[in-house]
Amino acid sequence: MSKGIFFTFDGLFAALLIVSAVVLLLTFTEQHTERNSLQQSTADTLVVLNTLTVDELDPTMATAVKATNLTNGNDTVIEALGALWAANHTLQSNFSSYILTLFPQNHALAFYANGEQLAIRATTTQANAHRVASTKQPVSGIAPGKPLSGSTATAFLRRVENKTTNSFAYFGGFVGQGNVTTNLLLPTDVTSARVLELRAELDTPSSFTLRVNDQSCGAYTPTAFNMTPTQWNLVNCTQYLVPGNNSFTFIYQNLTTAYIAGGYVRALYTSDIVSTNTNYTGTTYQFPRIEGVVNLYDGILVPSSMRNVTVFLHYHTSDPTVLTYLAIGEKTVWSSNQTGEVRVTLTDTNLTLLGLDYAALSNKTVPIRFSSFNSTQTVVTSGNADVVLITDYSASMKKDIDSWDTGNAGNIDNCEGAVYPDDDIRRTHLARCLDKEVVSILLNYTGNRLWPVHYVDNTVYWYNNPQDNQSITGFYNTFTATFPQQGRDKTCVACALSKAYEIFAAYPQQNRTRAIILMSDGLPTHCTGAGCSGLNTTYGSQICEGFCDENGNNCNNFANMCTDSTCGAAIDNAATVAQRLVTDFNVTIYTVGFGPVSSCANATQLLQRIATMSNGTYQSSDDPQALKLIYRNISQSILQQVALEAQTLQVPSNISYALLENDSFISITHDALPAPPLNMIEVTRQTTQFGSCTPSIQLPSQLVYTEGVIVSYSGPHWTDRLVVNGIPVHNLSDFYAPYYRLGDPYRLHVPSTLLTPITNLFIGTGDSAVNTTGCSQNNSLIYTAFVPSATPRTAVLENATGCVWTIEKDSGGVQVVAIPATYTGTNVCAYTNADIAYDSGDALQQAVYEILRELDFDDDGRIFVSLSEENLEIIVTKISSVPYLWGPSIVEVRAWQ
Amino acid sequence: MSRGQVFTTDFIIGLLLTLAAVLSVVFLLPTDDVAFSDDGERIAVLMTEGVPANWNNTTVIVPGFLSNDRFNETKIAAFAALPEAKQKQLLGIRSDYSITFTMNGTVLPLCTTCGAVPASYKELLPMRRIALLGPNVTMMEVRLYQ
Repeated sequence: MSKGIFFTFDGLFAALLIVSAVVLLLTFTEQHTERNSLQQSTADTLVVLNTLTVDELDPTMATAVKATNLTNGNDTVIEALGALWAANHTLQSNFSSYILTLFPQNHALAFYANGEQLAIRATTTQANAHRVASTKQPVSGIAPGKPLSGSTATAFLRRVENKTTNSFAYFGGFVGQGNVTTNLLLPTDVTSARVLELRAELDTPSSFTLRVNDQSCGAYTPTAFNMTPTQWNLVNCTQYLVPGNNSFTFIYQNLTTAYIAGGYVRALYTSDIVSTNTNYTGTTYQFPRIEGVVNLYDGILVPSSMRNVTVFLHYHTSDPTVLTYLAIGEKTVWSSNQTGEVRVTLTDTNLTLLGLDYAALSNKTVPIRFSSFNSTQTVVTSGNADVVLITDYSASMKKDIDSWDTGNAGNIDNCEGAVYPDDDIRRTHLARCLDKEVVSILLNYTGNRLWPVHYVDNTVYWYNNPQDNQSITGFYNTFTATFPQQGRDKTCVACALSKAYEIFAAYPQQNRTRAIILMSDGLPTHCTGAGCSGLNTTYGSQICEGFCDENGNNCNNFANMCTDSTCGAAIDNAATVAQRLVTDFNVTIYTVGFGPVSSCANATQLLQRIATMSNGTYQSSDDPQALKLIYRNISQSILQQVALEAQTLQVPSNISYALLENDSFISITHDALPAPPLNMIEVTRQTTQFGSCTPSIQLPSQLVYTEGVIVSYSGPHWTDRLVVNGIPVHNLSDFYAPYYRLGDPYRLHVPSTLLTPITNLFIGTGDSAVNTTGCSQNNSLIYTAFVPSATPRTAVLENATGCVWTIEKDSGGVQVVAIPATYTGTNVCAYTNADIAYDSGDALQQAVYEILRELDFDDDGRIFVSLSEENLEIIVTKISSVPYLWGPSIVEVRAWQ
Repeated sequence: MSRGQVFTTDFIIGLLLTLAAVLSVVFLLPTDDVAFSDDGERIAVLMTEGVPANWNNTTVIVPGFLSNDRFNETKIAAFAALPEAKQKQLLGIRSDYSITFTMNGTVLPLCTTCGAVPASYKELLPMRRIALLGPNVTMMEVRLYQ
């Protein structure tokens, strides 16, 4: 081939490429334009579907569509399409096809909903199409199977009629001794005819006659007492009840047994009053009227921060030797031997000067003690306790209270400000503070005696001036000056106990209560000088090394000794001497594990063993504040044994009577409590008796709780602990005094925020912090709560027709009520204990059911109010084209050529 | 063949091919392609309400035939009443054009004076849009001419 021909073909090829490119460009431009046009068409179609209304369609089709009741004439075609599709209506297919015919037929067209084809008009399949265009639009409020129009309703009570609720009159933990009068307050619309039940539940030891509003209504005899109440149906007394205040007087024959150790009078009645006028910023304790020997142990609920207190006392005494006093918490705020009729008012000024600490009393159930005894009925203010207070002062006491590091040597004389608040305080410092506190408490009572015993420097020291508080305190100060800042050498527990033995042997008086407080922070290292089975105050053989060296510097030696028998002989020696103390002197030994003793099994076991053999207690802690409480509790426990043993007085025959009037009161203002929501109905209810000290109770979940009280029968003891859902809410030990000087609340405040659908409780009684006495099986919870009186709007439901309801009531009987009152149909519904039946697809019936459900908060199928047509307002709103939340469904217009 | 002859023939063939390519481009591609593309887009404003929304032929700034997503006969008539030059000016196009409304295959007597069909022309792809005119689905077809 010639070169010329070659170039010619080259040129032809290039020309073909250029022409092809031009043709392709033209084709693409045309296709793009045509696709845009098709896309515009689908978009325009959707606009038309959104604009054209059913009434604008062919009348026959419009009528047919409207006849489905799924849509109306003003609905757009897309809404009608969606409605028919969502309802899976048979007309949907015809309707969709008809709509297709409205559009120009220059291309294929189809409608889809959520990908489901509704109608199609095509001569070719999409698969074979050159161009396909689609436009989609979300349509809310439709979904397959969901209604598209309907009604929604809400119900509320216009007024309350025959609400079933309770009123209580409470007695304190011990109210006596003599004739007792209390008041039961009934709402202003409650006459005797509306009282359904009147009952008393009292822990009282003897028979009494009862007068209600000065009308005698029977004699009653308890079947049990001492933490077990008896219940009486006071049906004979109901007739004497009046609206407002009602006095209940319990008349006894024998003053010694004339008391009520907790209990209440309860009236169950119907009332039309929605809620009482509760004061959310204050509370008033009204004293009962007591005629005889006034001996009252009770409590007052302070539910928030206490701000102001006013006390008014009104009483009569005739004997100048009678000392009348009132204690709030542990503080005596009134004390007088004035005779005749006494009226006294105490205000904040008086009370704060007397040391009443409002902050300390806030958010608590505060014990109240009122007494007016003849002095011949002696309350023991003197003691007969002989106490040996043993303090370990060995080398390990140099250490920090909660570790084996050297402890802080702060200001040893400032117990409250420097020692107790310091978690790292040196053990010697803390021990001195605690010892001095025990001395102060015990020797506050004339007749008690106390001997300090220390072991340090391999020697047992003691001090013998047992009734002189100041001298003993001086001994402690001097002793710590002699062994400044730290302990030294080893531990001979048996030696210290031997010194206690010597002391008790040297003071062998009968009828003395003997006790030892034995503190140690480690293991015994030595037997006595009389051998490991003997009793002697001198250090004998060293059996083991102990935790630390003699200077307390190296304290890593305890790992094996805590579990093996290395120190066994010294341990057994200590136990042997303790047993001799118990056998020969009936000593109670209170042992205290000081610091991290609980991590050493042998040390813990020894202290427990000694406490058990002597009916004492073993307590341990490495926290200064907890140890402070332990020492105080032990002190109280010792005092409890030597002082007034219980709340009951043995009243002699030469009694001089006193009278406490029931216009006496303690008024407290406190920070405002949350007010209940509006439009709710107040109700007061009581749970069943717990039958346990650790009950788990179920409470209605739909209520708004405003007050809860645990009522606890403590008999002659004190209700001293209440824990709610793991949170301590009452601890009588918070009031630093022996229990017998404190009041005994029968009602214990439970913060409403702790009342949960499942509420776990712990209730305990005792005579001191360490002397527990279990609890009554008859305790219960009484709560005040609010019930909603309106329901939220129901979901949109298809029907709203009403029903004839059969409704059962708490107060008994059933009501048959047509709701709404205009309903004359044949629907029958029920809300009874046996049956709950209604149409959940009917908005009216659903609204009624929901309010009945609210009014039946205890889930027993009975409502606590009467429900008549005129009291129940039900608002029904009919809605079509409901803006449902379901969806959106996707409507698609697709076109192709 | 001498070397001079080869280059002469080669040159002539190359020239012919170049001329063929240039002529192809000239005849196959629209000479005013960019302008027509812009005109097609501008015409789309007719499927709006226009500016102002209730414009008339004295207040019109942008002509649009819709009100409430439906063709508004008053607006169409107002536009039709404008001189053709004014119509083009408002639409911002240079091409000749015509507008036809069709309902169920029937041409409606609307906008008969909207634009004008030139004596000789090359017709571009028409723009077809649908909307309701009253209760009826109506197609507006806009044709541009070259």
